[in-house]
Amino acid sequence: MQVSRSRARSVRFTFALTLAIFLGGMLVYTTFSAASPERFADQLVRHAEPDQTYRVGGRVVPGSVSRPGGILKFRMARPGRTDGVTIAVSYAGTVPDTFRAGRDIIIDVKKTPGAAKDVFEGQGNTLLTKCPSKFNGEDMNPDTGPVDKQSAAEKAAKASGE
Amino acid sequence: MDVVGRALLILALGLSIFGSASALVAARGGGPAGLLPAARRSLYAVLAMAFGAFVLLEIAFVKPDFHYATVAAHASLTTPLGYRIAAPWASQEGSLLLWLMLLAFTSTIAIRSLRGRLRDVEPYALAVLLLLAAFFAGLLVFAAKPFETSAIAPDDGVGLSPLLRYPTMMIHPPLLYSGYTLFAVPFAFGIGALAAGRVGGDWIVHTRRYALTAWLLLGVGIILGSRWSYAELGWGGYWAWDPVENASLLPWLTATAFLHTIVVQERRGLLKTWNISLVLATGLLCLLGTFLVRSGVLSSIHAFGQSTVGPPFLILIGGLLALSIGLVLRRRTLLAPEGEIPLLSRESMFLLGNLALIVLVVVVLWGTFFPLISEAITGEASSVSTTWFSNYATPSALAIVALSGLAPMLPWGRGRWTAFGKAALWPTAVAALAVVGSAAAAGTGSPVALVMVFAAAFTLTAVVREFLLGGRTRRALSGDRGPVAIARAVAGNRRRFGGYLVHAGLATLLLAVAASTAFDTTVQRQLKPGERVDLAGGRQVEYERTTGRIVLDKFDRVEKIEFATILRVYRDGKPAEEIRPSHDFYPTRAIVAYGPVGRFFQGEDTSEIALHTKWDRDLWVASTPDQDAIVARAKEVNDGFVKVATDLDDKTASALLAQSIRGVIDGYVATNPPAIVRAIDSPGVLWVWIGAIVMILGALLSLSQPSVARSRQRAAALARIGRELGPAS
Repeated sequence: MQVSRSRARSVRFTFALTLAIFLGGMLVYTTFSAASPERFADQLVRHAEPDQTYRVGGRVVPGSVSRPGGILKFRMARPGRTDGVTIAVSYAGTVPDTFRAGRDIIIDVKKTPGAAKDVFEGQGNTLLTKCPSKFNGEDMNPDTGPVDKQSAAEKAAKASGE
Repeated sequence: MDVVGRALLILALGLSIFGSASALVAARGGGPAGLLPAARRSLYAVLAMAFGAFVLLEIAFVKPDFHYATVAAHASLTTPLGYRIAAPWASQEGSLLLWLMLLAFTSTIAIRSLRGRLRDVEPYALAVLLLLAAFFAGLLVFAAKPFETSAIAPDDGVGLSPLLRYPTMMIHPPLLYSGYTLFAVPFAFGIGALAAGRVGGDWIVHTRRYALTAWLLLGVGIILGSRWSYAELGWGGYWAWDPVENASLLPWLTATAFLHTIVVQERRGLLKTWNISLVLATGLLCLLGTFLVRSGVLSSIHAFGQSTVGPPFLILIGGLLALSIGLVLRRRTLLAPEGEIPLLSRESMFLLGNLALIVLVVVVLWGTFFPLISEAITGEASSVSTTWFSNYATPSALAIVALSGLAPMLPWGRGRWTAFGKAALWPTAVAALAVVGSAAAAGTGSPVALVMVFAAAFTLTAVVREFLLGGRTRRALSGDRGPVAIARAVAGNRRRFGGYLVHAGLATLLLAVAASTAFDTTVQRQLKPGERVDLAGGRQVEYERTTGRIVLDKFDRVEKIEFATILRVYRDGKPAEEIRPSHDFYPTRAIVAYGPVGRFFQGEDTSEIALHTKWDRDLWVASTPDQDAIVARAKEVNDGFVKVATDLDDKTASALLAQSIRGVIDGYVATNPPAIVRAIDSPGVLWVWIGAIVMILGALLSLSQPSVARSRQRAAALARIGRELGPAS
């Protein structure tokens, strides 16, 4: 009786282990198949497959943002790079409130068919910016000069009774 | 004040190290007799030091004193007092200080309330808790210094992001941290139980209330964060599978698992290795969550860029993981099970539910860390989408909901198939009817949602059945009738019925999640005045016009400029209610970059959504004005203002500036501009929040059950009275 119980236990263990390995293998395989490679803008300009979705991280180039017809268009570059290599992105999904020129973003893109090598289309609703809880002093006023010490407009608004 | 703050933190660090070492020596039976009491007093002193330091930091924020770098970065003169009080935990330094204070607080409560009950375990637990306190105090002394000051204070600080000025965001982080730090108690006592070789049920019984309270607080924190995301952020969702969201979900899931299987250990002496592993995993996942938020190791909306606190966290987590595995292996003989689990039994359902939860934990953990894993394996970082997470989470969620209904139907020990079939009859019938009704109403386009309807309806009916059975039993025993019988049955076993309520809440919540994601309609278009978009159920939304106004704060300063989009909802072609989502621009202080007029239109901007909630569906609408046109007009007006303002006196210039701002707004509105409208029609979102509230009520009901220790005291007192009264004649 004791032997059969121990044997039953080892059969159960072998079955569970096999199942776990099988499911784990499936998880690993499908994840690698479904994952999007992460790139910076300059890496995408060098090489991008036409049908591949890439997750690209970078900084929105100041002065490059426009919204013609409700489509967000901007250029992005690798943070800290000064060689001027950027990609152009057009995006029709949800734009987070914290999206601004000069800020770091993450977005899934695909190469635009037939367009120049630096032109990409943003996918779905994939544009991510930093959570509001992660802002600090420098982020709140990107590319600015000294902070004004007066509040002329506030006084003016008060004076005008707005 | 900053010197005092720094001194308090250094003292907290020293006392934590001393206390931890003393407790460890005392646990090993060495040192003088007063070593353990000294370690306990060290903990109390650490609490006093951390509390003192936190109060000093709060004073600096409330004043506000911009000499402090963290105050200057997270508060401003215009930040309302309530948000200045909450601002410390918007910063890295303040968050870690809050962690230390809450850890010291929960540890003190645990050590004081459990003193003398777990004599062999307590010294080890105290050593672990003080080790954790030493770690956080060390971070505050060497890496993230809250009392860092500069000689010259800026005139004003940066202030909180407008998106964080939302009431629930004031308590969301403290609730999460309270959950994390409370989980440190069962973690520390688990380590203590292993180290002392006391792996029976005692330490579980005594720390279960801490685990349940931690589970509740962490859960409330998660749901408040989701609600903020839905109601305040302009994307219309409540869960994004972001690494930091996942980090808070993981310990909640493992805790859900062990809160079930510790009952199996209490009743049957089974699953000891499983339970201790889950308790230790939960503690480690809490640290991992804090590491993810604070280190910036994974790119997410919560973590851009690196910080210096990552490596110390990794060392701590790695060390505690090695210690945990080592202790479990060392005590494997003591942890051996005392029996077997029959297939048809409540404990087998608990175990299956645990497996579903752990599969979900593995999937979420794997997906979250996949960028690091793939980079380590292939040399190229890759990441998975939210769809990947949703696809993998769905089977586990279905299994968890179904098992929530199945488990209460089965007895402890071996059950009988006939009795089970009888018990499952009504829930199965109701669930089948619910599926037929849902398919008729919403179609069969989403089979997964229909399976969730079946599972949720089954579980809800099973829970109702349990309440009715409880009432019937009570009636048979005491003659109580109807609702009174049910209420008294619930009052008599609050822990059990609280658990059933949690199951009902979870089924409701996940059903609502399935419905709102499978059957929602999202429309995003740029509209001109008079244009409409079609939504589900014969509804349309028409864009009528844009309005603009200046909003002043209570000091008559410009708080924001609001552009509201006036929309009309049409039902079956007939005009119904008006809705007014708005987009608000907060002034930036960057006057040099944008000019005196432009700075009012180029600071932070936020969407204030219009949300119409009905019992069956939500209409969520956000709007964005034509920002390019606003900025162009602001630049134009700004140039004109700068040309003439230099020759004017201050008063006249101020008046002209006000007119110029008003001119930008009125000029833009007068053009009948287009607006980007994002409308989401989702069924059942209200029930996500109702389900969460039911879960919270269930957990509170469970917690209201007198503790085991108190029950034992009462039983002993009754026994004593019984002995004194003598045998009944």
